[in-house]
Amino acid sequence: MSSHSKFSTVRSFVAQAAVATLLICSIAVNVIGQDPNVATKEKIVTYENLWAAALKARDLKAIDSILDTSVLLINDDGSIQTKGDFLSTTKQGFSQPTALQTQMILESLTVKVFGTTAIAIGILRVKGFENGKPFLRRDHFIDTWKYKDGAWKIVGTEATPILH
Amino acid sequence: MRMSAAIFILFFLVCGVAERRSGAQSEDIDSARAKILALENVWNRAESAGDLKALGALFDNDLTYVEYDGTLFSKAEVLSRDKSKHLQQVVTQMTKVQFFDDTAIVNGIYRAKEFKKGRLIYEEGRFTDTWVYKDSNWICIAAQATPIVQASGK
Repeated sequence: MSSHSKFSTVRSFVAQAAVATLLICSIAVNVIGQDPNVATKEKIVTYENLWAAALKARDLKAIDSILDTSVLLINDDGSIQTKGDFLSTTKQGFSQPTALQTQMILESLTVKVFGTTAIAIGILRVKGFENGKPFLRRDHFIDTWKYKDGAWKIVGTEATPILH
Repeated sequence: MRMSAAIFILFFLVCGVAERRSGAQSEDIDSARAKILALENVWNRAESAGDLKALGALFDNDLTYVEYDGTLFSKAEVLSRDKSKHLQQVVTQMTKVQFFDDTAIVNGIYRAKEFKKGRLIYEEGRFTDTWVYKDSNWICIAAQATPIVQASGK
């Protein structure tokens, strides 16, 4: 083997090592740069969509599994309900004709994670009838989710009508 | 006989430890509840006095705040709003604190008196504040207020 070919072998090895180092570094930067809460945020977005769908469908079983037993719900008229009250009024909604039932659309959603607590902030478009009159309003809501006993549950929720 | 006596003693020891532990936990919760209520009072006083430094210390940098008219604010926006507000008094009542490990949810009713365009305005609403225990302190990560439209029995 000539010295030239030896040199070229060394050069090729150095080049390969440099490429490998760069590759490892870029993977490391990617991993470090990634939001460690991405998976939790994705889960909460999924649960928020399930929550909205459960409300829309008046799915008592799903609502029951999403809400923590001790949750207090603050409605957009400032009234307060326990989980039991909320399930009961949701059940009563079944007796209304479909055309009069409240419709809800999730317009926007942002999730912030603080360890085993997550805050979901969004806008809900609510359409329905109140005292025989149709209404359409947009509510800003905050749902507080807590990871407990192996599952995420809503431990606090409030909705406020957007007046502007 | 000796064995059963040992089991008996062990049983009492375990019960004693468990009781002391649950006692300590309830003491921790009582002390945490007192702290949270004290922080809520600091918040009311700081808002009335326009003390932005005190307010800033209560809020996490990533605070989410929904105002009674549905406006969404960041921490900087809340502080900027409070700077220009002319609040006379803020009082809270019917306050309930619930704990979920390192998280506390506070629900209650607030009443505020504010000078707006030369007039005294009264505001009443229901609120939810979320606190988390972070770096050895309780810090508010979310707050929301909703006007009480109808008598809701509270």
